[in-house]
Amino acid sequence: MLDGANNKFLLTEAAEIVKNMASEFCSIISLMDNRADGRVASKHQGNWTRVRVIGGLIGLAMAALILQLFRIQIIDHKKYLAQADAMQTDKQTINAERGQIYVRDVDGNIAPLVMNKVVYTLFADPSSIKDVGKVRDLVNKVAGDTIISDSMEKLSDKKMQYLVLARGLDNDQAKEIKKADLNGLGLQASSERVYPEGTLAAQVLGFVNGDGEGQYGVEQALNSRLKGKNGVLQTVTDVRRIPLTIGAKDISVPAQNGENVVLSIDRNVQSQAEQVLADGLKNAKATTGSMVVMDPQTGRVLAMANSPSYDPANYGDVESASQYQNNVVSNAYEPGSVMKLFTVGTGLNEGVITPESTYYNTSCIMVDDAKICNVTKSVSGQNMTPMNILEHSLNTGAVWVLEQLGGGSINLTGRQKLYKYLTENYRMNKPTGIEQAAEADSVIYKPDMKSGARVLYANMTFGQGEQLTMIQVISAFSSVINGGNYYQPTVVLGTLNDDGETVKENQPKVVGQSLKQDISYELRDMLYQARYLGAGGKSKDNGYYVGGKSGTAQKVDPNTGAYSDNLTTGTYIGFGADKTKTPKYAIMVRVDDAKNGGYSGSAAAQPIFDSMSNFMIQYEGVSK
Amino acid sequence: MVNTWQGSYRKNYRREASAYHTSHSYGNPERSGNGSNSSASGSDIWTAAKSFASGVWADLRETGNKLKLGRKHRPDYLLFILAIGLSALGLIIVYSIASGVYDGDTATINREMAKRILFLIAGIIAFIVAGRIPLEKWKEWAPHLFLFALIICAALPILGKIHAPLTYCALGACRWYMIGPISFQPAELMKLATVLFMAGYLSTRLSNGKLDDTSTLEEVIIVMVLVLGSVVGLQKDMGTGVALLAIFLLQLYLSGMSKRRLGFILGLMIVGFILMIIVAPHRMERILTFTKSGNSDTDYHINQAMIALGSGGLFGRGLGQSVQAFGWLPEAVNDSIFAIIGESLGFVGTVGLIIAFGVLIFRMLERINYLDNMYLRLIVAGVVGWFTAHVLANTMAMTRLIPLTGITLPLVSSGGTSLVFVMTALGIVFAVSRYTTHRYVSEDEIMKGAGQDETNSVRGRRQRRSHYTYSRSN
Repeated sequence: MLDGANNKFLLTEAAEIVKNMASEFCSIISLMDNRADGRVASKHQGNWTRVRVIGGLIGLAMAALILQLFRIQIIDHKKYLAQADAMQTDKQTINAERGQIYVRDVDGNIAPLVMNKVVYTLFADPSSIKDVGKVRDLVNKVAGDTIISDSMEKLSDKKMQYLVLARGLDNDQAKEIKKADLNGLGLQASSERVYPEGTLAAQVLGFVNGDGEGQYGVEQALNSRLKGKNGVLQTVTDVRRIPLTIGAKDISVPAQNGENVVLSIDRNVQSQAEQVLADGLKNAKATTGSMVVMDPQTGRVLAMANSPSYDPANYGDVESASQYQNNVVSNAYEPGSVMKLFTVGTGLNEGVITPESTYYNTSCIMVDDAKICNVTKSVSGQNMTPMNILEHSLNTGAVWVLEQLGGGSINLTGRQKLYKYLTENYRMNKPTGIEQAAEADSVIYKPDMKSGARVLYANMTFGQGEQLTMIQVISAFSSVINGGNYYQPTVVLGTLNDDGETVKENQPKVVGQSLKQDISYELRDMLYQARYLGAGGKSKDNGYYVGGKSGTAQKVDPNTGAYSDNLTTGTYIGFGADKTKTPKYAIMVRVDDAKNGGYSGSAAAQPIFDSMSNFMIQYEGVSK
Repeated sequence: MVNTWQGSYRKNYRREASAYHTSHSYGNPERSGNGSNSSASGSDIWTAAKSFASGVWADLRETGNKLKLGRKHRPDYLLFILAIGLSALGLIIVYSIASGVYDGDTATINREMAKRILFLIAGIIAFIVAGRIPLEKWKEWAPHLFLFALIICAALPILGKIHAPLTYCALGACRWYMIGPISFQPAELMKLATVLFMAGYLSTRLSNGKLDDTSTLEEVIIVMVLVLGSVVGLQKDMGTGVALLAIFLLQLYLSGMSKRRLGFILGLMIVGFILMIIVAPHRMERILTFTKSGNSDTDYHINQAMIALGSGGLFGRGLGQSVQAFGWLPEAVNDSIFAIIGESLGFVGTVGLIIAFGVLIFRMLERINYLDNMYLRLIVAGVVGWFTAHVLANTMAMTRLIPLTGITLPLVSSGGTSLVFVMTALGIVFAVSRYTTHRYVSEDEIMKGAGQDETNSVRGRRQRRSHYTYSRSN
């Protein structure tokens, strides 16, 4: 609208112009008439005859009209064009379908683990409902127990315009509502994740929140790939929002559906792992633990189990958000004596010790002001080989290897060598990059710390002081036993081809060499012997080539802030190989809250390993 | 010529005489009744009222002298060309947005376009026929036509109330008769009848020397109240009311009525307007919403029109590229067609259209200066008032200069009977254009003819004209 002053100004100006224009116009019209006589016309010109007054007024109005048109169409053109565009163009998002998630099954088949389902939200506009009784009957009949409590009472509130009555209706229910065609009822379609296997691999998968964003696990890590790209449809529309064919501003970008991802997880291994872990924790009177099963020849994860678990379909029903976390990846902890095998491997690879080297074992040694003791005192006063260190889990033996790395004492050179191995060869200082959300950072102290480095590094040789994730440890472990090839750990096998049956596989990727091949085989054999000679002996693995190492780390008591003798984390890591000694699987088990102190951690973890290992032998058909 | 003059004189004389004799049939009751009997008894008042009414009735019926026309010459074909051109433009615009307005339904589009073409043909025929009917016939028919229009206008709302057949009411107003598939708006006939009737009445009053009599003022007010009452009061048709007011004002003004009388009529109109607002306050609201945002339908309508015009820019989106026609802008093929033209053809299109209308209006207005017969002058004045009121009320409402009244853009937007009546009116002006003189006729000159016979002035002018041409040829 014109504001007053502006209007007045325009109009007075217009009046001037028009006065001239009107007389001009009149004379133009007169001239058009060739019969008009110039003399007579001039005689009457300037006289405000009544006809001329009328002509002037009409001319004035027309001039005002043209000025106003000039203002609207020329001066304010951009403003109105913007208004027109905002009003006339409709931008619609074409939702991309989120990729589904599959896992491997027996015989190379794949099975869906996460699928999409169209569900409907039933809502009402009470202000436009004609027959509340009819609506109530229909909703009761169709939606039944999915009706949101209290919503039906609000139906007769004519002031409301949007009221959700029920969520998660399926296609059949929606059809029934549509068929009834009652005023004031509406359906809103949306896509929802469904889990045909229930809670299987819940932490590996993660879930999708209400905004359609993946949270935790693969859903978060591969969110952008799974999500795809929404399309855009921008068109000029009519008043009912029906697109028109006119207008050059039309944009049409089709939606790109998300990738259908096939995990390297094996449905049966995963299922077994979860069962075995749950049973084992129950036996150890523990509640929290994790297990990971990896193919050491590819770096592919076959199973990652966590307990307690949750149901991704009802992800809101957890007691604590920590249940969403995949602790194999998202939790760094002290792996304990498991680290001795890496220390021994370092010594062997550096050539400072050989499988035949021995050292004189005492039950305790002093490093600076710290006393380091063995748990197993029975072999004190004997000469021990590297294999014996692993067999009896000798802390003093691990410190001896560190001394050898420094040429006989714990010095900077030795520490630097160990640090180099932990970070470069075993790649334990950085996240592995596995396709899981929130991978935790590890902690490995530098070898050139001003004070306490000697004690710290002595402790690190047997697994205290560094904090690592299970995925870092098992990835390094796989390379240590497979000939030294460090494979990039992964949970993704590849993507599902468009045929919906075959998989476009990602190739396993070697990203580093941890040990020389022969050293790796030596260490593999030592691990077999150490397990073979340990508790249970030969009968334990029925003659199969299975090796492993336990570990127990004291936990920091949250009350005192110091290492506790009662709170321990038990770990067991091991592998199973066929008769050619080719490792077929690697398993790492962690039991967090074993309550009995001492060795109870590994005492809880080892049976879980045994049980899982036996399953793997059968499942993989490992030869004896 | 002399005979006619004598006849007129006799007639005139008889009327004057009858006035003195206070006969029951003819005469001016005002003069006989008013001054003398101020303290009249009941029966006297009744008698006075009766004689007043019969006097008014007689004055209104009088068609005056037989029309005396000059030599016929070639009519102004520019009127015809502009009328056809503007109608064709309307047809093209409507066709360009038909798919938007009629939802892409080919059958409906074809039907509507065929209807418009048929009405255009009917309009052209009406133009030609009206242009050929002798002008004295119009003068003769005018009172009958006017009475007929008044009756069907006044009857419509009453018939509509009782849901009589053939009536059509919409949005709380009864404005149409339905005769088969054709809707007929009697208000359109009313405009034509008013132009013809008032031209005849006023020119007769002028020639009788009674133009500035109180009786004329009274009679004009009675006619205006009847006409506006039946259209604005009963049919609630503000648009036609505006057009009728313009017809009345232009004809009264150009008839040479004294400024005091005109001022009185204007004053009465203002009083009437105030009364209307007091009776129905929503009218005030309607006028106010045009400046303030009132969130009403009207507001939406004008906003959409402004968006259409503004988004058109200098050259427009192009013919057939209007988006506003797709349901955004109400009445796109009717009252809002100007906004669609602005959107499709831009500033160039709207100004071009206004210039075309301006040429037509000023062309007609300028004819008045070359007509030496008051009856013909007033016919043209009435048509100019009618036509201009429609053009300005429509376009100025679309550009938010005045409130929206719901009025057609003549020739361009109007389909149906409205087009036929506008074409008829232009056809009559076309006929009038055959009788223009070759010289400028001043208003003083033609108004001095008051009290004289029409033929006198014609003769006098003819003499002078021939003398003038003669001397000029020398």
